[in-house]
Amino acid sequence: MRYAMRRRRPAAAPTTLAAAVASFVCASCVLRAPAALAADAAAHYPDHTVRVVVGYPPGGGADIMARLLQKPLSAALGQSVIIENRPGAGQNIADAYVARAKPDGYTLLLSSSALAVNPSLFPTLSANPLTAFEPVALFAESPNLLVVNPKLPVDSVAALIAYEKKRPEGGNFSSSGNGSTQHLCGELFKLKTGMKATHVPYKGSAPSLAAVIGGDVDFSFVNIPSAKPLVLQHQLKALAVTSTHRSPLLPDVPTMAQAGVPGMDVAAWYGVLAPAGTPAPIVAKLNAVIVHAVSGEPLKSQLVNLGSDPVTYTPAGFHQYLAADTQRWAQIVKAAGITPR
Amino acid sequence: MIGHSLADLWQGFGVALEWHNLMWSFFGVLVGNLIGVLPGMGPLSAISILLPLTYTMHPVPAILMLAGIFYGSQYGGAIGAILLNLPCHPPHAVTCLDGYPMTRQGKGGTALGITMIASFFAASVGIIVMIFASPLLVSIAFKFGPAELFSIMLLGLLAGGTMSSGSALKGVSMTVIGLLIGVVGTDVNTGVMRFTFGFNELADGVELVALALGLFGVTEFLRNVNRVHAVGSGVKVRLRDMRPSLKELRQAFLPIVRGTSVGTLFGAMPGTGPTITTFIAYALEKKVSRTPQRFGNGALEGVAAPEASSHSKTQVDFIPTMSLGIPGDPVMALILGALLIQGIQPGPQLISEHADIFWGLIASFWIGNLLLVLLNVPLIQVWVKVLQVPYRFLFPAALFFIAVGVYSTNNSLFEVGEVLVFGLMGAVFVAFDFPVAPILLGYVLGPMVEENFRRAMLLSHGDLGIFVNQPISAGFIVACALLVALQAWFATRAAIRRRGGQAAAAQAQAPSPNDAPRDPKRPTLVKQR
Repeated sequence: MRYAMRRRRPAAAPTTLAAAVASFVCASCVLRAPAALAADAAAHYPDHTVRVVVGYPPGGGADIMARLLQKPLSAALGQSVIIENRPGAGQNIADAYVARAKPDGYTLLLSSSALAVNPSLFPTLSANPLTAFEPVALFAESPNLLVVNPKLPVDSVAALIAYEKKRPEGGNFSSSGNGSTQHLCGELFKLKTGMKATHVPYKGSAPSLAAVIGGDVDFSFVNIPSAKPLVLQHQLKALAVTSTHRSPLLPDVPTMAQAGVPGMDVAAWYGVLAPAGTPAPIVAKLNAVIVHAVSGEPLKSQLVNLGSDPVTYTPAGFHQYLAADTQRWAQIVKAAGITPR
Repeated sequence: MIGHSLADLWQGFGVALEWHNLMWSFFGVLVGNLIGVLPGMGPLSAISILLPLTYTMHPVPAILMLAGIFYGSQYGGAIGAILLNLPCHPPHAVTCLDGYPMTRQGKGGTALGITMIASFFAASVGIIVMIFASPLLVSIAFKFGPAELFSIMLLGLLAGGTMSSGSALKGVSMTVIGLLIGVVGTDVNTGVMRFTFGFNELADGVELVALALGLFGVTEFLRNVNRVHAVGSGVKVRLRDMRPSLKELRQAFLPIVRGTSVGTLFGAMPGTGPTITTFIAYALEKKVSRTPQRFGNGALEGVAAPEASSHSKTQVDFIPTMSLGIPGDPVMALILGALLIQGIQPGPQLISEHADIFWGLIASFWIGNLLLVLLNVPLIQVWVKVLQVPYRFLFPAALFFIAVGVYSTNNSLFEVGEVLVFGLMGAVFVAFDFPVAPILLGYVLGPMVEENFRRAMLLSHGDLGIFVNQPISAGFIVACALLVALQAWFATRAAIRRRGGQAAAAQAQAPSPNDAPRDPKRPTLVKQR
């Protein structure tokens, strides 16, 4: 104990000095108007490390998006950008964490479309996407691919619908989990076509994909890059993509509208959001940086290789998109009869 | 076909032995081993920590390094389990059961040596299977639907439920507690949250690492904290204790072979995790042993078989990961994520399009496992020295690393709290002589049994016949029935004998055979279980 005290004494002087400097700086800050302070903070933004929080474990879809964005973001901001994985509860934990963070632009959320789905599924648990966050930029949209087991005697979406309608008990489809976009995509497909099919949820997209290949289920909506090699090897049959245009990864596969089921433009999206109350200049700066990164290489082609469309939105445009998406998922959840938790 | 594979493999060795690649492979093995030894740090955290390093690397060294970290940390995890009763990577929990008693008897070095030999042997077999049987295994993999998985898990639950020593009732009740803990979280089928008590952190269930470290590591700490001298610290470690003798090698040989076969079988079935594999290997070893009462008190077979099974399982698991792009567990998902970031899509075409990566990786498995052996021959002495650190420094330090490691799984303090809760729970159970290992078994198997049962019910529209109509599933159901019938028969026979024995005992005043399995010489160790 005595030894520790002896050790600490010489360090006391610089600490006091630092405290004095700090209190001086603080005092001079307090004297200035808050608005000027915010503008000042925005002008110097960023002057230290920026954290991007991801609601999924490393290696997951949103994590890969974050890691791809990390490099151009850090280069353009001139500060290091770190990815922090806070997985759990379908992104709810990360959402709540960022919503509570200091709105200074140093804590950002890289969100998947789960943000728009969660209010319908967890009405009591989730942060309101429209009021808890300041949307910054939506940069990628990943449509789904409708795949069937190759042994199924169908070659088109119309044939699949006819085939399933003929079966007395209806068919079945797999998804990566209850309430996932893959699940809701399947429910929307049922609503649009009036066919019967049992939803069989799996734990994650990998076993869900395996269930189609193994023939346990008839069809599934899956993400394009993981299915593409299996489609080329004839382990899966691809029927349609759920976007307004064909995917450059699988140009031979029609869109849902071309295949005769309009109104099925369903994409999982990835975007960056800041806590509500983040100064507008900081949001604008981050938006400009992300838009620039997405419009240029290598991010653009990296996103295309992952089956995503690189897209650019203004903060206001992202806000509108988020509002519309949240409302749409709420309708689908309700129409499909999925009970909120 | 095989000749072609061999030629490709030869090229793969060329890739893996390139100076640059070899260096990264060695770096991965070394760092993985060091991180794996730290309590609370399993392969998953080791790879997540070092993943960002790979973004700037060429894909081949990147994947070789990640694979090195993977098996390096897996072996490192066994060290903590054997020497300190800390299963950093949950599959090693089974290794604790006999590895830690061996350490307390001063044979920790032997256990580590056997583990090293077992893992090298099992990995080599796994690699050979990977090279020659992968097309076959891929086609088998898809034969395992929900009905088959349910039947296997049921067999695992039945086999595992009988593996604890001591009172069968206590073992079964602990399994049921494990099942209940496994229920916590979001129900996969309906999305309903069960027993989460409003905590978002419990929505994905109780963290497996927290449960394993709490029940084994923290429980052990709480049990020993007032009996400092009772622990293995201060045990004299001599060089010749570290090398397994020829007799021990002979004793461990068949368990290693059996463990490897169990691991290879389970490797072919994606969706069965490594933890179950090790439990089954242990249960099998105990069933075939002529002296099952030694298990739990430092049986060498109880270390060799589970370690061999987990290594061959993970090696064979690479087949679905690499050839289909479908990862079998979170660690594999992470390695796939690393490939995706490099712009490489794993899948059937990986072998033809990126032959250097695929065959280089396979060759590096072998080289990396060899490096691991070479590295650990001298290092085992260092690890065993850890035990000479006084207990009052060793375990507080271990607790600190547990907290850091568990925090790093989800970057959340909630899991650290879970460790403490399970540690306290475990201490109470152990104090009343309840075994804690079945809790882990119930926790791991319960959700899988339920999930696959309900999924099979969804697919069959509620027809229970699905479990017996399909040959593979029916086979496992028959095995379950046989197991139960055998168990009942043994129990009845024992009861009849006991009745006869009691009649004899009344005359001769002999001790009841009921007490026989307990070793009167080591009462503390029996309690330890």
